[in-house]
Amino acid sequence: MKRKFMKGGEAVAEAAIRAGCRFYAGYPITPQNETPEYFARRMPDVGGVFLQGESEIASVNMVLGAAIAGAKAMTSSSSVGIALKSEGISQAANGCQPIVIANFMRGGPGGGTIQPAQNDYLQATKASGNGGFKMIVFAPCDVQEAVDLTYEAFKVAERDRHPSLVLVDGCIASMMEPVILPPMRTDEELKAELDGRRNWICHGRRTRGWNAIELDLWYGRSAMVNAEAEAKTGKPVMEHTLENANKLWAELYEQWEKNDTRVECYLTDDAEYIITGYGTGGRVCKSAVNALREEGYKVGLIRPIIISPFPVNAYKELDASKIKFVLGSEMAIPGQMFEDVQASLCDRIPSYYYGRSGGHILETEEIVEAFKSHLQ
Amino acid sequence: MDKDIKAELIGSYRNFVFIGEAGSGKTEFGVNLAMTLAEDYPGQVHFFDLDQTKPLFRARDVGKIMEDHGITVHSQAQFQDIPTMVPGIIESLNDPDEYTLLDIGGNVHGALMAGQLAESVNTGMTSVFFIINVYRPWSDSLNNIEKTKKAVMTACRVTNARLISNPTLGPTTTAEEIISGDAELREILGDDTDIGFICIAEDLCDKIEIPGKRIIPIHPYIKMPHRG
Repeated sequence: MKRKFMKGGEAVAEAAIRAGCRFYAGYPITPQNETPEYFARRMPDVGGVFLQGESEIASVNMVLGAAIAGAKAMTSSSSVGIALKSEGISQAANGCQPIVIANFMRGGPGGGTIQPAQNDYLQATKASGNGGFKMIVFAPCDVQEAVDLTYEAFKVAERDRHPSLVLVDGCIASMMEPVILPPMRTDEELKAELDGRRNWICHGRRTRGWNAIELDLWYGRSAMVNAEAEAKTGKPVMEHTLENANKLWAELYEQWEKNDTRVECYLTDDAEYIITGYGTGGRVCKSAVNALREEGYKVGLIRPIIISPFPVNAYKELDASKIKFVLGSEMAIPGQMFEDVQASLCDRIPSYYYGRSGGHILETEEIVEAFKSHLQ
Repeated sequence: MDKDIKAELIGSYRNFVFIGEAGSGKTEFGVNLAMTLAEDYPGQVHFFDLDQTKPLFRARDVGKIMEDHGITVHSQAQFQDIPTMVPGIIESLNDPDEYTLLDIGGNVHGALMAGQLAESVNTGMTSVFFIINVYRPWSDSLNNIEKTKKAVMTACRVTNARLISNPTLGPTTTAEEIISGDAELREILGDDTDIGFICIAEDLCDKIEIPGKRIIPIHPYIKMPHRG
């Protein structure tokens, strides 16, 4: 199959279009500008809509509106811009709207720097907005994976009727690599999927009664479950309350933990040491593992590909009698995913951290050096 | 680089401007040309990195290598999302003793800032190179190439440009992909369009024979953060 040469930001947009995205709204910020620029030029080819909102907040709410009306919709931004969108993302979770968000991380806190970083792990996995909701968070380590995971994010969002997030660092956004693009979903496929969702798409008062919008936007998950039950039996199955909705979301998150964790374990079978990271940091960690293997060190890599739900077992199941230490490495100071790594290790295995931040991209050699500094 | 090709590429020009779709290979080609010029004209080569469209993979990232070869590298620190202009460009373009290279940022947005230099660029002293990588999204059809070329050239207000074919997919590009990519571009543009040169990664030059084509070997200076 013919390869294309794409920047991560462009590739995410093309993957979204091929997954069926026909509405995108965003607002400029470096290093995510390649994404809206690509959508702006490409959307007319597929009959889709590109809108530049007057702000991040406006654009996420445009996407929310499009999703309520049944469109596959997406927004993107970078770090501080995602923070601005957090109210809309939380509302999408509340209303069970399957939107997809991409965050091309830059340095922080605040405006930080336009250079790449991995400073938003905690924001992405613990609190992308108010209200204690979670999302499945995909964390690609290269442009091809950014394509594949963005494509998948739309399927997962649709499956769960819940927003999903692709956490891409600014390095991948600007980096060009050859990619094989997934197939374009056909109009027939998308129409069939849309027809299957008619029970919750808000077409106006006539289709869903006077409170259609209210049901979509308040306590969405209990409204959704009741609507499905009513369609089958004519009766709701629970009281339409926020607490019931929270319980349903908790069940969804438990399902994710059982079924949706994903992690790359590389050369871990005979490993005496583990290096761990995600995204671009994880890719550089892999280079460090290869470099150390060449020197004779038995080092393995654990790279979470989906960081929420976190692959706790990948760390929990490490053999403490074999593994001498775990080294975490991210483009963040202090480490953020490293908190989850340590929690998963439960103090069974010593763990250390090496990070860079402020726009500095990790280098293979410095991870190798950090690793050696912990050898006894 | 072959002597005849080098002579044809450089000619009697003193200024060189690189434009094209974002990611077409302007920076890599520009750095390579600067290094070639520096071999013959040490201390006379000035490289202006005018890329303000992205925070990474810019010529300034390999500025030290160029400076070690006697090239003066000009760039401006960029904070937050605010574009900044590099000083001294017009003086350098008009100085007959200097070889001046302008690496313009990708697509229309990058080209726009070069528009203010048009009076000094549109002279017989300047060679403008429009670089096309047929594997890039907006360079894969006649419609896309014409649209991109027109928009970029209008934005930077240049009237003439020499076309360069740069069919690359990065470090993993195969010889077959270079040959087929170049052939595809020539088919898209037709026989009447003069594509002056083809860029080929230096380690593949020996493996590729394209009769009659003027080949520019490209050394990969811009590095990725990972390896393997």
